[in-house]
Amino acid sequence: MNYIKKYVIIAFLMLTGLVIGQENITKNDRDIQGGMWIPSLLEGVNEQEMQQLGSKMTAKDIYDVNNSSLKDAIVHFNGGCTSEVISPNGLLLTNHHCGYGVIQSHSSVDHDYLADGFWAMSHEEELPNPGMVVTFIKRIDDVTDQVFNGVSDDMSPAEKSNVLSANIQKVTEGAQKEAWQSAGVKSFYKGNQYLLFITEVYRDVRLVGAPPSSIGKFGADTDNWMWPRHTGDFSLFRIYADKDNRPADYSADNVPYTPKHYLPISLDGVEEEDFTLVFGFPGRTNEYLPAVAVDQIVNVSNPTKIEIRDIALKTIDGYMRKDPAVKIKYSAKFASTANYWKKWIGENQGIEKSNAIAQKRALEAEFTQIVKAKDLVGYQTLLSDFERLYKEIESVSLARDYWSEIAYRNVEFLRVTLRAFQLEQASAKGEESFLNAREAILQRYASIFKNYDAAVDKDVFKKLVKYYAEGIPKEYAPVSLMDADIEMLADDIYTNSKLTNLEGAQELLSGSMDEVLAKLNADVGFKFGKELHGIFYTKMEPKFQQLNLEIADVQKKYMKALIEVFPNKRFFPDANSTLRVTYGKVKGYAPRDAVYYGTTTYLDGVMEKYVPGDYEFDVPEKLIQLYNDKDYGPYAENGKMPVCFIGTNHTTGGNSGSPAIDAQGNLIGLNFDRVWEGTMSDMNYDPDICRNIMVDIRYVLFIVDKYAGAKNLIDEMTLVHPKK
Amino acid sequence: MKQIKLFAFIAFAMMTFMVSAQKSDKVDPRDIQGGMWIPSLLEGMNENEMQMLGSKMTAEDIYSVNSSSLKDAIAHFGGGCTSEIISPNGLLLTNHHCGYGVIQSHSSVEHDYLAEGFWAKSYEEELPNKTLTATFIKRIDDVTTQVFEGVTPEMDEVAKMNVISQNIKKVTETAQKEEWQEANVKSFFKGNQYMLFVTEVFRDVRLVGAPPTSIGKFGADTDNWMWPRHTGDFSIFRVYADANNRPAAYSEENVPYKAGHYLPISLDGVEEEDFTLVFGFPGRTNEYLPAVGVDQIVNVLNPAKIEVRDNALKIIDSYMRKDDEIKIKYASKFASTANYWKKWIGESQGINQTGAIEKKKAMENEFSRVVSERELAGYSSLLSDFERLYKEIESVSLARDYWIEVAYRNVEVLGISFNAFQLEQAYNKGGEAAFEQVRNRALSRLEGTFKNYSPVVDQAVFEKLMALYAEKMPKDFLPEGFDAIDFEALSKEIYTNSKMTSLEGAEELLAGTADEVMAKLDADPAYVFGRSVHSIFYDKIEPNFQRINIELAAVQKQYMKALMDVFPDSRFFPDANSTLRVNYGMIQGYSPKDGVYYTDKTYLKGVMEKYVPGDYEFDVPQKLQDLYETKDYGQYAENGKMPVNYLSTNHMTGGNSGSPIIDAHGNMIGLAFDTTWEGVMSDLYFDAEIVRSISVDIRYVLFIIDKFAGAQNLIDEMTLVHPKKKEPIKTRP
Repeated sequence: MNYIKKYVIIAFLMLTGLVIGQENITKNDRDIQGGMWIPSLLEGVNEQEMQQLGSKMTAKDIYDVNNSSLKDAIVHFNGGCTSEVISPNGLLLTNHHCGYGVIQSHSSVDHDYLADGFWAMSHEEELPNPGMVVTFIKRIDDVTDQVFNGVSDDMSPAEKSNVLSANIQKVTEGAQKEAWQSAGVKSFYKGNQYLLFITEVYRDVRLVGAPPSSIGKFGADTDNWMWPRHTGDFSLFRIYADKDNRPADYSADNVPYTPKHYLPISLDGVEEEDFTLVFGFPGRTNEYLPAVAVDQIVNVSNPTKIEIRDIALKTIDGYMRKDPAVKIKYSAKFASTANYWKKWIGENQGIEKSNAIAQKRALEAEFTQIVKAKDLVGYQTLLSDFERLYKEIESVSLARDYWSEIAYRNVEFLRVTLRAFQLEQASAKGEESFLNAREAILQRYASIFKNYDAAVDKDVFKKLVKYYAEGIPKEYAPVSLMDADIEMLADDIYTNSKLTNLEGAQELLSGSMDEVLAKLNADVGFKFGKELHGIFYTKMEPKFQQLNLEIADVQKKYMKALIEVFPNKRFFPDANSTLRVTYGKVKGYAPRDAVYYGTTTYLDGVMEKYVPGDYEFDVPEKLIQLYNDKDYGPYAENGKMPVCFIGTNHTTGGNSGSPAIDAQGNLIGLNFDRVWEGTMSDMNYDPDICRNIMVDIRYVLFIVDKYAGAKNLIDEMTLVHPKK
Repeated sequence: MKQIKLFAFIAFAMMTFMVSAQKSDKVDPRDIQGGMWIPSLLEGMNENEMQMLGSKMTAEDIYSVNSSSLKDAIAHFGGGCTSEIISPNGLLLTNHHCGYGVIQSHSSVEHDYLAEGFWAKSYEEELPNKTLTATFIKRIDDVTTQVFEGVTPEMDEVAKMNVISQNIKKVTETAQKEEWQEANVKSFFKGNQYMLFVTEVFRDVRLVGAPPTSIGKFGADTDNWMWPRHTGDFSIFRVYADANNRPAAYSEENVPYKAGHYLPISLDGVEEEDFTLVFGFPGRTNEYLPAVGVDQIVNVLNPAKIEVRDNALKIIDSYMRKDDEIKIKYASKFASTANYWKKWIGESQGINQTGAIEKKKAMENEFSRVVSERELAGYSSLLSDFERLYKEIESVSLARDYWIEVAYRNVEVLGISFNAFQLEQAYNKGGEAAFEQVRNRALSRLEGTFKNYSPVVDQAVFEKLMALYAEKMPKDFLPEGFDAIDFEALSKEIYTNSKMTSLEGAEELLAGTADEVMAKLDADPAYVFGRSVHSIFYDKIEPNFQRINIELAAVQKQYMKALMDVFPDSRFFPDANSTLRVNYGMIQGYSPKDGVYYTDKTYLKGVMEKYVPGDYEFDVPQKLQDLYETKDYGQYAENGKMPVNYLSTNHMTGGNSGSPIIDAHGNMIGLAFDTTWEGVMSDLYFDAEIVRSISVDIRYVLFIIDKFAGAQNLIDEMTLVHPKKKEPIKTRP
């Protein structure tokens, strides 16, 4: 068994050779951006690339086990986002949308911190959050050899899997660490490489400050994925430790955590082409899918999902425009449905615009040619295996999209029947399981029906169930929809089913288990839903999962093969919620012919978007005042207040709250989103149109200082002028 | 009576002095753009400004009576657009939207020239047009002195008007001209200056070529007023003359016209900051309104009209989204309603963004200061007169807008009842004969109206807009008892019982003798309600509006004169009045909002980005796609890309459609066809920061003619030049 490390070493050697051989030829900047790199493996290629892009840092400045380095300031925020330490007293910066739940949990009618913001003017005023954790990475070790110990090629997949699990457990348990530290092993390159992470998990994290949503969430759903953006998407926390500076549960005796490193903050701003490094915990990417898979996503799956949501959105919109009551009930649901609808459209356009499928096909053709030339037997069937498996999974995958978009998500009534269906399933396990399930379901019903309008849902039902009947692959079509008159079916269901209003549903679910089951199975709506959901659980899901396992196995081999066949290409492991470094530059882009998006937005743009009283575009009076007075303190740039900027950093979900760091290691921005045209970067990064969006750190400081008057927080930071 | 010419002279002298005094200081190019100048008066300030912007031309190159000059190539097209001669054989270029009606009139089911395009491959194939004219300006004379002869300050307005009218008639009749020429006098600077135009009106103008609407109208309503734009908005005609090269009615004997000048065409394209001159016939602007007038437009009248249309559009949209049949019926009406809705929003935003009202107020303060300092007694009450009159007219203007927007335009059944109301008026005034005439006209309209009508949609619009009418209409102009009306009940009554909500019903209603029709109308609920609304318009709104407007016009005339007197070194150009004008500027992009920059040029690539197969606005002909795929652009490409449209700072308005964009040397480089949304306030206030006009790159025109249509015959008769290659070093201010 060859291990990934060897290839990496080979790759390094080859690359180094290449670089030395071409000493005077620097690579095109475009070709050395993109990628989410493992911080412990930056020496060599990554270090050189960063320096070519303008970095003055060494690999050791970024990651070092023995000395303090940038990584000591980077913290996984409650398992989902990224955050960073910005003062010697454990002050922690992350996005407003990362802190949202916590801010909300402290809010009441008297103290609406979401609406009004929150600022602790002293340590005493900071608000503790039981259950919340932040995680530092102390050390990353490559444990691939240990994990693969005893694994041989002749083992069956199940055997391999057992040995791997046992090895991982052993590695984790035997890891060298302090008592207060944790250890975990994570798989990279689709299971070709394993790394051990030694971490420290702090459990006393307190809310320090948050701007009102009209700053921290300015633009809300409408501006989501969009540039130009004007959101002050930040919130502040503080890590507390015991008196030995170690993790501890909340205690009034705890003291602010003293970090090994905290990020100095640059007041000098950014210019186009400035180097940017983003450090964080990206969640999930799929960069090494074969062309056939990307093709299926953008030409089969996405169009279906987009069309379904298109129909739902248009129908709901028609009612929302006519009836203010419907508008209130459906606006949040509408925004949430529109969110991924917008993302898929952007993803498809990006794939098309960057010509990703053709590029992948060209790479695969070359792959095949080299495999053949070098006679690499084990790799010869990989692409045809992909072809076969993706062909095989296509119809079940599509059927699953139909089911999840129509029966699970967009026809609300069908979701109601799914819960009832699950109740029936639970009843098979006995009375107690039934009672528990019923209680949970009744709670869900209360929230579903709170914003429900049967007339809207009926119209959506008619259109989407018709779409289901016409489009779902035949083997997954329910019998009840064969030659069905959908108008009549809808009339029947929305007149006679008890599941179209809360009272009816409660009535249906009342009584003994047997009574409920009998009533359910007599309900015309339940019967219809039951067949749809039954097909999902018995026919779609098992087949889908089985094929997916086979695909994962091929994908693992393919990853290994790619690295071997193209030793001097840049391969980074797909994101897996571990700590990564991505680098690039501050840069605008041309989203379409004759339009150029600049790198930076200003407070002027907030005022351009201002709609008094609007739930997305209102602006606080104080901020308007500061704008009118141009009272920007030391944070302005040529008399204007910068708000957000964009860069070529390759980011994804999980990078929210990541610091943007300059060439010298100072904090210059706070990552929070990507632009719509580049959302395909999860599958294919293109430096021409993929951009991450960051809050300019000076806007954060301006809001903390001038808007909130929390000078106490500014005072504990280290503000620097690297450009002067 | 002092005359404008004098002021103009003073202004010139001052400017020239200023410019030479500051020779070493760089003039901000933004301050010398904007304005629609009279071509016979370019010498001095305008010539200087143009040269500072990079022009190599003299005033004489542009307008000359004795030698051929640019103006000889410029023709007023059908009285509405501009066109220009681009070959020695009278080939005439204008916009597709200017030729649209003509192209449509030649189209049939077999030959749909709108859909397919049309190309005459020889003179014989060119299509004559009965009423189409092309008017050339031979000479422009200042006749202010003659027109004001005998006018004294003691005369009242009516007496003045009479003398002026007689003088104008005399000037026109005695104008020195050839018998095939025409003469007429036009008023400038609000009646402070008068010019005589001697013209030649050619009456045999034939259609030569037009691209399909998928090129010539690409982007249609959605892209209207928008940048980035990708429209090949051009069509080609030919002017024919008699054997002596003089105007003549259509005849087979006629021959292609030899114009005094035709425009050479540059193949060298444009770059940001290149000088651009636009020559054409802008229709109407209002640049000298007082702040109070602009304020009223953008803060009272526009918001009212926007709100009405906003409500109508939202309702129609909700039905269109739910019902495909309604979508088809209302698509074009929706677009047309959205069109000016969009313009008003843009106009108000532009005025606010540029701080136009504050700037006008500051200017008025300065005006008052100078007037009081110099004791110019005649001018001291002007601004307060404006204040008083605009205050007086506000509610009646608002009422008029509400009536037009609600009762005349957006509630369709009220529009129908208005036609019937006119029928009743005609009968009352002119008896049976007038009745018959108006009935026939009304009947012929009904079919078109009901073809795309849905009473369900209209009823929803009625309910919403009448409630708005009741709430927002100034109370003086509401029918008695309007407050008490239950509009839901009324709408049920109307849309259930009125005959005016269907074609059959309306035809039945209008059938029979005049008296029968009147009796039936009196019993129809839509009619009775409509009449109560419409009669107020005629009895109260319109007479008041006209009366105050005449007073305003008199103050505006005085004010115009005063402005030039008080600020002798400011740049004053006369408001557009459909006469020949020159304006100049440069190629330039702009920033429409924070974080966004619109660059100055679009390319064919952008057409493909917008392409929606089969769409009525964004379809792309297969042939054009093939040319794009093979990059078969001939000599028209720029670094391997095919330019389509570009932006310039030229100050334009309706009537400039089809105007040539001319480079520093007098060559044609583009064809003007629109202005950008952010700059639509330029009719009220010009700002070089954001006002942009949109032109077709002339190379796209040539590419379509040559590569798409294969009409090499047309290319052959043009003169294609390379001015940038001849003179590689360009000097700029």
